[in-house]
Amino acid sequence: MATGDTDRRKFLELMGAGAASVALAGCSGGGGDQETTDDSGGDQTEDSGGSETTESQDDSGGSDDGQTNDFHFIAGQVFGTLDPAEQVDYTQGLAMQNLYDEFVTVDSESLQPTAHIADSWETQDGGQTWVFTLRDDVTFTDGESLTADDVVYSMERMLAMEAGYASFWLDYLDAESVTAEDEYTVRFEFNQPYGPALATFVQFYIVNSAVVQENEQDGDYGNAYLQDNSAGSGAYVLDNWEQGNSIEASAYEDYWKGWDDDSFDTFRSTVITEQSTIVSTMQQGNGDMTDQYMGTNAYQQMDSFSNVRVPEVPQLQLFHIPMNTQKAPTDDINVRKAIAHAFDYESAVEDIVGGGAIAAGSVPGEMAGHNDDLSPMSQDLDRAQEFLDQSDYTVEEINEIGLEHVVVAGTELQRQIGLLNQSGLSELGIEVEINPQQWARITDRATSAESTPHMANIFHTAKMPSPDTFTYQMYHPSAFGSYISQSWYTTDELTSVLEDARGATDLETRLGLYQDAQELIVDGMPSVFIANPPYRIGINENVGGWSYGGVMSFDWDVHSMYRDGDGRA
Amino acid sequence: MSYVDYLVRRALQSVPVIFGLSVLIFFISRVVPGDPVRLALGPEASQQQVEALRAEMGLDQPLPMQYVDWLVGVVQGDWGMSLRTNNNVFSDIVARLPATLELTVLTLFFAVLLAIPFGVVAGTNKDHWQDHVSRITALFGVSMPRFWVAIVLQIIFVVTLGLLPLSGRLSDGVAPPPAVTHLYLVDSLIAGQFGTFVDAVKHLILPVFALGLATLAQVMRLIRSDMIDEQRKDYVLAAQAYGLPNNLIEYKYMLRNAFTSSLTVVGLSFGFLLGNAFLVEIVFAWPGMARYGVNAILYQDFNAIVGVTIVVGVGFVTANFVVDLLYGYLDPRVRMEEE
Repeated sequence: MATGDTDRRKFLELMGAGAASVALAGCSGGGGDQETTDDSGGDQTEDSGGSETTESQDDSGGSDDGQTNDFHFIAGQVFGTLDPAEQVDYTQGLAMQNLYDEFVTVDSESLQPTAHIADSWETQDGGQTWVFTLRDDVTFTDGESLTADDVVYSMERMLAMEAGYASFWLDYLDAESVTAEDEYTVRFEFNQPYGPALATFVQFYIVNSAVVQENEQDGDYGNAYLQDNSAGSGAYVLDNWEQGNSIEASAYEDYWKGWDDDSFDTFRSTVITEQSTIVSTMQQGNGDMTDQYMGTNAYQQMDSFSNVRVPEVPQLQLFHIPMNTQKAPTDDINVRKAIAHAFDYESAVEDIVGGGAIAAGSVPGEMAGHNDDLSPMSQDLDRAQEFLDQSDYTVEEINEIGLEHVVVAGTELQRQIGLLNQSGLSELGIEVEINPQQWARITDRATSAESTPHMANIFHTAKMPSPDTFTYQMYHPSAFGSYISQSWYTTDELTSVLEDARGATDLETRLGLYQDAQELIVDGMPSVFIANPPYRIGINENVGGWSYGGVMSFDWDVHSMYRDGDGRA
Repeated sequence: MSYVDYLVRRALQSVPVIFGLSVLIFFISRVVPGDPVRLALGPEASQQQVEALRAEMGLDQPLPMQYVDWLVGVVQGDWGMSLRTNNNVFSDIVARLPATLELTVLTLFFAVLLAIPFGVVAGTNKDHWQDHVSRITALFGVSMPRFWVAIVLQIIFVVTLGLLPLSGRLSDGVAPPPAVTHLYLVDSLIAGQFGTFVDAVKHLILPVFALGLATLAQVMRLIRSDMIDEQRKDYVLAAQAYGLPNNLIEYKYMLRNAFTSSLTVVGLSFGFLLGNAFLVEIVFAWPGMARYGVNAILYQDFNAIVGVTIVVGVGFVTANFVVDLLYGYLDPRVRMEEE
């Protein structure tokens, strides 16, 4: 017993001593012996977490004030991959925009494809062959020139890996049909005329073929290597990536677009998923920019801070409620029209979405090719009743079948839209069941017409600067099975027009066909076209040069921005 | 049966528990409605791409075959690929577990360290102001959601007073210490980097408080009620009659008896903290396993869900095993009964 008592006493003493030392250390202040990697001074918030060692930041480019040249992006989701052939979401797009160069880019004024790595181009064989001439002054971050061979290899691995945006080209291109005519000329021979080809190339990032091939493992096209390294010609070079936490990159001194004195010489992004923490980070002046996926109140809150501005611009996004046209009772066009006319668009846009414009058809109003003859809808219960009276279903039959409206679980905005729809239809005596579901379940249900719900809330953002995104990808039968196309709506005429549009290489002709398609779509009323929501992000007042990029993540090209002032505001 | 045999038997009993847990969570995660593969590939993915990834991950095999493959992989350190990170789930968890362990172990340590004196004071001052304060604190602690407490703490101590950092494990510009245990407090001390140590402590204060408040309240109330029970026993009266100082009676004799029943709750709390740390990790952008786990659930990243659940399960089992060990240590009658 005595031994046991002694041991216990020692045990408790040790615990007490440990606690006391920790408490003392915690109270002893900041101390002057922190191991720092830069002199970023008061920027005290974000962590370098994880288990890997933060690399020292390099001092290339930009100003010599350690704090003012560091660009800090607050991302609300993790970076799933850093391989250009796999990227699909906005954080991955953010990484691509800064570590790599896209083949062609988007003009921020016209929101149309414009020259980038590809300097000029011409079409042959009625639009089936595209020949691109590359810039001759682009170098990868290892100093080697970017040539046609790199473009050929980048497309080869894209098609072989069948990931990311490969579906843009899989049905139209073979690896053998992409060839280098000379050092700076590339030929793409599509198996049929492909009008939106140029627009799709905004999602085609070029990798350094020599570096990637050198690091291929078991035929993985360098995929493993590109998870921890960048091999591009972008403005920044990857220094460190702690997946799920942060990414850090430093400026590539010889970037082909050059640098200004106030350019950012480091770029990093930290993952913070809690909205209130993001807002506080911006308020404290510890972040330069946020993403656009927070609730409206977060942007309103940030807008009230003196050091943060929240630009609000029209964006190429459609918020709508697709109705399953293959399932009773929404297979009846009059039921769909009744639903569309019973919806309160003004309340949805003003009170729930918090701004933007009521959508006029499927193509956002700001996109080239939008049909301006189409008008936004407004709530009209009398007309809704008229359509309901003309339908093959009585209200009782509709209620017996049961109308299901799926919303993304846990999202207040989505729930409110569901309630608004429910409220409008209750005026007609129609009952709606609001069914919150996880996103994975919603995408799974969209794979067949039978399992797709009658209605669902969907945000659809442009991934390329072409109306094709909002027409062909939503209403052509070949696109069915995705959440984007869950109205399962098409007609022979619509299908034909969409195929003609894809085959048209002349821009005006193509846009005209897309406008025709929009009319046909609205005639069939496959969706409640609610809104083109505004694009909002939080930006530190001392960041200049930002402009909306049209396509997801394109406005986060850090090279185009600069520090407008002395450090973060 | 000797005490050692008893412990070995308890350890062996853990194996079927973990095995059962793995079977349960593996099958549940795969039969939950939804298509995480399609979700991971994005809306533009063709059916061909979806099928290719399904085949690559073995999802086209029957479920029992998938389980066997997974089990074989687990033994070899391959816990399957995460659909969100494209990494081996094992390496994902290994990279994040130390952050969560540092948070939860410290939380439990301080919760118990504070609960003991508060519980003793409340128990020995029943219905006095000390007891009322402890009751109100306990009610607040167990009823307030952890994430809400975390946000309020941020507003007070970070935004308003500017005393502590907002998020993460270290401040900007402070490099992590050379990795030995991957616990920043320990590694910074090993490396003699006291500035880093202090910085890490500052980053831990608010998350530890937010996460530990409920545990503190729970243990404090248990100790209080047990202390009240102990007060009525004869040995206390005898000790008082002998003229022993109150502190000695309370902390040496009464607490030892009172704490035995609280120990079970402390053991269970560790598992709960491990599982519930995500509430705090998300608010404080703490790069831990719990945040990884909740994202896995949201995106139906099934291999990650299974991996995190197994680790939390092992945490539960280990904590209970340690409690069993401590029972015998704190209460010799347990050892004697077993012997």
